[in-house]
Amino acid sequence: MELNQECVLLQNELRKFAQQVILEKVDENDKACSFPLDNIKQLAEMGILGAMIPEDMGGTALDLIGLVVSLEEISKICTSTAIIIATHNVFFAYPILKYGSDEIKKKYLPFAAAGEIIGGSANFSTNEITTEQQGENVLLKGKNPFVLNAEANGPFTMFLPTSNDKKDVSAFIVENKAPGIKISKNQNIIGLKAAGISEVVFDNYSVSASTVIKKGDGGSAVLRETQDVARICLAAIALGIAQGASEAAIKYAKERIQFNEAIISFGMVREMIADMTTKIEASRLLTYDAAMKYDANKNYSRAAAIAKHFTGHAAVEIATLAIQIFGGYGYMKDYPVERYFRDAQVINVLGDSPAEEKENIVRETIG
Amino acid sequence: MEYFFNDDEKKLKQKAREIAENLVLPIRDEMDEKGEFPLELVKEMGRQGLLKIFIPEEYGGTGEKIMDMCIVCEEIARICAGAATAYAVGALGSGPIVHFATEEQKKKYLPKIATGELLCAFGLTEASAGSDVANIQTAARKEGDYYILNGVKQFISNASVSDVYTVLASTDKSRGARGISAFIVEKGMPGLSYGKEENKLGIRTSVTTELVFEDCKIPKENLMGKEGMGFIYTMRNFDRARPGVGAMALGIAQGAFESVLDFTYKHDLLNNQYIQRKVADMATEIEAARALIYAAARMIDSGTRGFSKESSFAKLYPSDIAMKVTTEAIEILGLYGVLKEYHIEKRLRDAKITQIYEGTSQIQRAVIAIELTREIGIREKDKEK
Repeated sequence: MELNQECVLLQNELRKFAQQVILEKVDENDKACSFPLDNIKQLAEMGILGAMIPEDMGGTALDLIGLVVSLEEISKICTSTAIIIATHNVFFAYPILKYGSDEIKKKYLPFAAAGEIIGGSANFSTNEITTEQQGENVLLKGKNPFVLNAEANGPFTMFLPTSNDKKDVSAFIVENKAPGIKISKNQNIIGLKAAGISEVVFDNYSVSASTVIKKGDGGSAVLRETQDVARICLAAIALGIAQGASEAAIKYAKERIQFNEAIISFGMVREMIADMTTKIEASRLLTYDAAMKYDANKNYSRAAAIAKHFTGHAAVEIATLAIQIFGGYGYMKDYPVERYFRDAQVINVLGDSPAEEKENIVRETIG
Repeated sequence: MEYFFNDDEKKLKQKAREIAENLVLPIRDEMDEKGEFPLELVKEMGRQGLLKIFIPEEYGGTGEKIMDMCIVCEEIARICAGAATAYAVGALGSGPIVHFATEEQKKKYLPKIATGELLCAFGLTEASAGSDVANIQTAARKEGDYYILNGVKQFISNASVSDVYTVLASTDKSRGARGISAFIVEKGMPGLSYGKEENKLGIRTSVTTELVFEDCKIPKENLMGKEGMGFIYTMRNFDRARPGVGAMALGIAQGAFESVLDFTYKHDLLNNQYIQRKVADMATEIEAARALIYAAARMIDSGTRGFSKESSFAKLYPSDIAMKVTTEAIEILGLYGVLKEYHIEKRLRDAKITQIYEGTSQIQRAVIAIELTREIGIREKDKEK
């Protein structure tokens, strides 16, 4: 599967940026749970925050494969930064771009492309919210412990089922400074510590009609398409974790001497590396294939579901094996593999749970 | 499953569960967050008799049964494997004293270890001697009535809070593994200090510190057993200790499994076949791990000689199951699984160490393979006769 030249250039640029800039504070940000705003601003200058946005709105309108290789490179060094970028582009900008009114597009997308606002999104599966119709507006009560990018103080998208069978979904934008919402950083998550994931509590927050992207039956289509594209991006992030963890483990295994030999010469270590490498290559093929299907306007739902399911799981397995290769050192926060391990756990269950993922694959396969 | 515990074992299990739920549970989250050693908890476990199980009756203990160790480790780890490590790691230090020390040494230390008055630790691992135990660089040279120790022990559980240490050092570098000797070192001996404290992924309710020896002067009476026997003592000590680590892994898996059942029941998911498949596999594998651990423990307690392979079974499989169950538990809970309040993510972080400490899974496999090779060698020789 060949990347075109433009994509390869982008990949090299991001690889360099991740290693030369993002790497510097990755541990510090993880330990202190601090949002890497400087990095995000620089990525905005590089056009990565406008990846999904057309050029006439200030975006860079990358192919999805371009965003995918970018996320992979960023996640290899810092998964928190990668999920911030993916959330902004896919969970926030994409549904607005695809289904928003001209007014809503104008209100948000040029600023999103420039990085003046960092858009967020409330994770769909963790909505613990009840709604109440009040005249024109809908009132929200309850909370969501997983609002991505909420710490960045930007607007965020939300998808709420408005009928019991979940066929009717309301997709809308929440302004973070509006009355009736309270945002607090969620520091109780195993990983993605620097991603600014927050708990948002709604106390009679009023969704005004002007912020609604789509509702009713159309809302569920927005949600479905957003989740499909998101799966591809989550797979790319998982792939970055797997690649980063595996590179760290191989480097360590070459340097670590036990029994008078580098441990990479031992069969049990080599077997782990063979398994890791095979799963990474398979993950990459699946993920790129899904992105390229999207770019070619082919049906990509099934490929996206398979890519996320396989790669999310592979990232967990590979990060676990990477710790094993590092032995006792892998268990300590002085080395990066325990962070990959923690981050992989979250990425693997973001979007859908693995049971839901399997169900998606079956549904898309049996027709 | 019915395992036919005798009355003493039943009582011990009950007591361990009460301590876990009444004393460990309330401090679990705070200790995990801060990464602190639960000194008062371990002392209280000592007062309630839980440290006696590592010590023979003639020295104030209750018989040093591996089965007892497994029962308690499982119950404590079901709530918190960090606390279980803080509690049980002492046995790794006292084990060599029980089996290889002189009568005088035993009388001096074991009764106080049995009550928890003295806490114990085991100093083996070094920066360049992880799996390759025989590669330790810490040296002990004899000078008159003393041994002088120099070197740094790494990743030593409970190091900074313990009072007595079994420490491995080389008395004759030219003899490799056969030049390693074991010493009993006491806190406060001149030249002993504590180095870096590790910041760990899991078992954060236990402290892991360097043990630093700088011309540390140890009376020659504190040599354990004979010079040059330290490596063999260490291997035999590990043979006895491994089922305890397996039991900790089992406790982690059991605790995570119970959380999964609570969650899936509460959210009405148990009629979903994806979930049914997972919980059925979990239950089966956990029970298989338990049966394996208990079988190994009973075998060792029967007084049989040679149980390296079975002891490795009892660590290898349960630690793999602990990782599998906790990983899948997160998948079942979805994003709630990675949140602290459900205590699955903590168990996952704790579980990983059980595949690493006291011999990695790769070392366990090597032990098993070596035993299998030896067994088939004997069988082939018998055939020739």
